Amino acid sequence: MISGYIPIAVLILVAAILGGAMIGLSFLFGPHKPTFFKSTSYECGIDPVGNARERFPIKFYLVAMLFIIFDIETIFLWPWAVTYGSQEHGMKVFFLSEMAVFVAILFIGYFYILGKGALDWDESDRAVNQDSHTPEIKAKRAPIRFGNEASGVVDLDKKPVGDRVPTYGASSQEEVVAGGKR
Amino acid sequence: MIFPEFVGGVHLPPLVPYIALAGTIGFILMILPGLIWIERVVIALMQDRSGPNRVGPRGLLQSTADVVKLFFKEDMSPKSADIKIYYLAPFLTVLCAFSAGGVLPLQTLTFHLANGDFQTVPLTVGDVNIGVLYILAVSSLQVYGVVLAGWASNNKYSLLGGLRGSAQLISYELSMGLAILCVVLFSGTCQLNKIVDAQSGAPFGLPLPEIFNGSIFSWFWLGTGIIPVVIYTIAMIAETNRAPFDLPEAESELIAGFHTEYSSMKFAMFFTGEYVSMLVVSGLNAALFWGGPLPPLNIIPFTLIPGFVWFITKVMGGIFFYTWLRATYPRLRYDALMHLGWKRMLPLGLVWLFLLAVVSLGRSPAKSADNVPEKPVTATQQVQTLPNAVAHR
Amino acid sequence: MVTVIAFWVLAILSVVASIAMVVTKNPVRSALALVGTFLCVAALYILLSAQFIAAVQVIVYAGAIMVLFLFVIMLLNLGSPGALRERGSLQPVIATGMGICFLIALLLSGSLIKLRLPAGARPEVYEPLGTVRGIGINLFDPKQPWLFPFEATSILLLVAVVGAIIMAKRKV
Repeated sequence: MISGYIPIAVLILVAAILGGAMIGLSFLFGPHKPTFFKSTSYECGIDPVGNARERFPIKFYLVAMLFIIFDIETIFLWPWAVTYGSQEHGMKVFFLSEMAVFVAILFIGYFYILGKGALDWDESDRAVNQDSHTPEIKAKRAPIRFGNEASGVVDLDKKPVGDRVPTYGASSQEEVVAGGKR
Repeated sequence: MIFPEFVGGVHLPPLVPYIALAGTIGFILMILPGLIWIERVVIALMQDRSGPNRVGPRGLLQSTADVVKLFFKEDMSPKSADIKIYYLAPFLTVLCAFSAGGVLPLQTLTFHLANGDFQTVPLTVGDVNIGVLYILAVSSLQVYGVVLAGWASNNKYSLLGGLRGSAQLISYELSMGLAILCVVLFSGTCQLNKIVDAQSGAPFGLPLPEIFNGSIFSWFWLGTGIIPVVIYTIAMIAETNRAPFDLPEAESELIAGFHTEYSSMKFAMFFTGEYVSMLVVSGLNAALFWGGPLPPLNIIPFTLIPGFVWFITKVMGGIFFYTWLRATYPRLRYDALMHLGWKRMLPLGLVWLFLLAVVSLGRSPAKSADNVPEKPVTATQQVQTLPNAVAHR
Repeated sequence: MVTVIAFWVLAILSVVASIAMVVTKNPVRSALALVGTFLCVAALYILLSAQFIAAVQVIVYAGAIMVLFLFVIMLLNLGSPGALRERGSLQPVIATGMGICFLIALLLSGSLIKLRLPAGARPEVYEPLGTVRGIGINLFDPKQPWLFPFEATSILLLVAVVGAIIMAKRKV
């Protein structure tokens, strides 16, 4: 059985040689004329500000942590899935319930994570979404506009709805931006 | 096709893995410039513009010219970078990408042995028991190329791209694993050649004509109920950082993401790694859900074409799908990406796996596909059998 | 023969990688050396026919836990060289002393405890046990004692989930 891994080891070796050759050949062929500005880090043409190795959001750390936990869970699923199909009916029920208990306990954790909002990437977004269903917030929100009101290119076939009169002949720019209210 | 055991005094069957190795590496190196050309031409067609048309007929030699140019470009490195890790990152990317293809089932070769028997040998570099897990393990190491490139460059855009990329890779690995588990549940093995064998029967075990044996209807894309193949396809696009999941290298916000500071061949190595990964995950998709080297219908013109041609055709279908998606969809927002991975695909995959397990409760026990005894073995039994094992020598 | 050569190459590589992990000052390089050690250990598992464990070693340790380590190193901004300089601490002295004690204990145990095998017998690997199916059949069999540890693992993972959230989220 181990002999099956020898060609794989050879493949990994070949891949390593290939990678090394790519770096080595380009190092050999390419010119090397470093100047001060070439070897500064790229920040869209302006001088780099400070060091790039800043602290970063804890979210990434949390995702990595949750990944480990669910990864271990899926690792247990592999031998289960491989052996499940070849069992007798009674044993299948046993296997299934065994794994169902395992996954059910983990699903408690999953719902806990969901409830705590650990999987919501943007916490402010969550707060807005929760409150956005109340009529007060809905009323406060500015109407979505596409910028064509100010330019005067408005669908002329469309009849004005309700009390919102289209401001085709708006006297000032501010009036239009403010939502066409008088 | 049936091959003789000896050709010119050379014993062929033990050489098959090395033939597969040379074929895989050679094919990948040969097709790489072609892939880039295909992608550019297909996108140009979809966007109704010309595409590459200067170097060679129909711009065919454009990618080759690009590779030659990249070899002779200046090998720059930022002076604030951690230079050893800066060079290690593209190396790791290429290493992981090329090694991952080691267990893909290209074809099954039949040898006519000297004693009159027939022996089938899979045309695979390493037809090992852990099969799919090997690909998952190697591609889980791919995250290092991304995160180290981002960190070592000492550039803010690179770091952001590296972080985004690594979080994305690990998030979608879970869904990918669950989708593959659905297939493993039905095939009862992780070995890819045996997963292909499990798809060669009649569709759903129905008494249909011979023509449907191992046909497109008995492959696992339908057999596992379509949901796993959808999950796998989405996860494989995210795993290879391709549009619409190309956030680690989102050019409109991060310049080039984790490889902003890489020039010349080092940049091309990330590119190579990405394309080889695309080939490998498409190959895995073909083997798991689309029958691998099996022809779509079991009738004569299809069955005459050798299996590896079908396999490559299916892989190319995957590559076309990638390109199609890239031309069609805009990039996802990062929170939407995490939302899709963690809140949609992960629970859906797990629930679907259990649904499939419940469905297969009624099936009669399948014969074990692995050559492993059915009875459990304890460590004490194992020690007790030791003297016997020695006596057999 | 191949196995023996592979064993020695991998054993030396893993020891070198572990020493590099301890000696290196830069935390990121140190973490990478640890990844190297894990990969060597995974290859050693394959030599022992423990194929599934080898895959798990790479997927969980090298592919998940070490990524978290790298994230933590970057999160705490330890990546810059010299960020982890220890001054005037007794730690190296104590560590060296403990290491020497451990080596002596290892040598003593090697001479005191002898493997009791029948004459002429060689320790042999039972190959099917290391496959995915071998692990599955033994792990989920009701007659085996692994059922309770397996279910208890899920509770352990649940506690880990809660712990991760409480530590990482400021507003719980």
